[in-house]
Amino acid sequence: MVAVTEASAPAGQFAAPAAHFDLFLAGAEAAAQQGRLFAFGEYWLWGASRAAAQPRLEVIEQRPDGLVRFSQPGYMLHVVKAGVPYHVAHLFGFWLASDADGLWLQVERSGETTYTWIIGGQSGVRRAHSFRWICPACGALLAERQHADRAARPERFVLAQFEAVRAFNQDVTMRTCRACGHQHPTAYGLVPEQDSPDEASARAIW
Amino acid sequence: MFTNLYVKQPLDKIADDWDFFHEKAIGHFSTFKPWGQNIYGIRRRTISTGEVIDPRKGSISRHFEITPDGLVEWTHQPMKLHVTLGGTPHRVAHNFGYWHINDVDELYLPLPGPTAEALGYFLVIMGCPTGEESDRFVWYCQNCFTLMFERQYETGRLGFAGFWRAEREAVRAYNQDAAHQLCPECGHANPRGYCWNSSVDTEAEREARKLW
Repeated sequence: MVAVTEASAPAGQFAAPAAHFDLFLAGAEAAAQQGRLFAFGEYWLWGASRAAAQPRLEVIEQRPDGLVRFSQPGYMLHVVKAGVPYHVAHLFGFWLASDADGLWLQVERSGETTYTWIIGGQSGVRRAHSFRWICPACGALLAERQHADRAARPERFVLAQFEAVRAFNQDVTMRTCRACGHQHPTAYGLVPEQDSPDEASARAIW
Repeated sequence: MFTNLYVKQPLDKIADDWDFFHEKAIGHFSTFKPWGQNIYGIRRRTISTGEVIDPRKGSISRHFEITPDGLVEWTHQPMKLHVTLGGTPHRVAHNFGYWHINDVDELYLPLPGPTAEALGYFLVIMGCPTGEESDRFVWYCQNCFTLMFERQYETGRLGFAGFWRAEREAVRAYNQDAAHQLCPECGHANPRGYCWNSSVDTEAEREARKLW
């Protein structure tokens, strides 16, 4: 059930690190940058704006005592410390535990909510990630795939989480809890354009 | 989903400072605070399309970097995230009177308030230095960019708690001898330096802050 991968995907359409860069989080200039994971120096950056009427993207942490949802209207800056598994509802359908801190920024104004996800900061991190699923009924660990990448390339991360999601969705046994028998719903990855119809439906739900 | 798995207690009982913008938390970050793998500086400021205004320092919109392509100036814009890569000399006019060079990256993000009248947030986020990583306080000649004076603080080894003292000592050392401010190459007389915290300005430093 646990697989360790050293990904080797090509750079593809992803931008290379720049010495001087601005990420537009709002306005017309933001359109080409929204919804993509970029690498800039020691950070990965992702940003997107949505109509405030759409379901809020919510950070949920898996802590020793249980799940904790960090969500509120308006503005918010929440930091998920390295090693803590977290799920962002409607953004990625798995629990992510990384060796890097995850910063979740929400700005809700003028009928629009802008989200920014920042990963990293410290030197030498963003190299180890775990994609997990837990039973929604009893919390037991159902599946986990680890991704290691010494180059810390976001495109490799995106590919690895996509492969992990597809492997999970294709294996009913993996999605069925051995402890309580509950079957986990379909998972989905970080990139909506890659969703199958079932995955798109799942994204709207959890 | 997960209905039975949530902790039943209220958020404030479970986690401290879970929202850095909360009125009870934001004061902890006004003079930069390490938290996890990053150092956070968050201040309430007037954020408009053209300017970032600090209540005490005035306009602090003009940022400069010395890059491989030369001197770059940019003006902060609302909702525009800027990254300054580690190793890049950078300074902010009227905000701190030296070139800062750190070994980690810095993110700058001005967030406008919910209404045109409301104060916004100005975020500066940088990685926590580790190991041999350090901060440098540097003065280049304003005329020819010759390196004139430099002090280093070993932040990774000594910790961020000593950063502001090191900054103050660097500024004082640069200011105490006019020869430090005189370019050895072109002879240009440069202004004094000043610290990020304007409340520690001497009269002469206050005047220098107005200049550059």
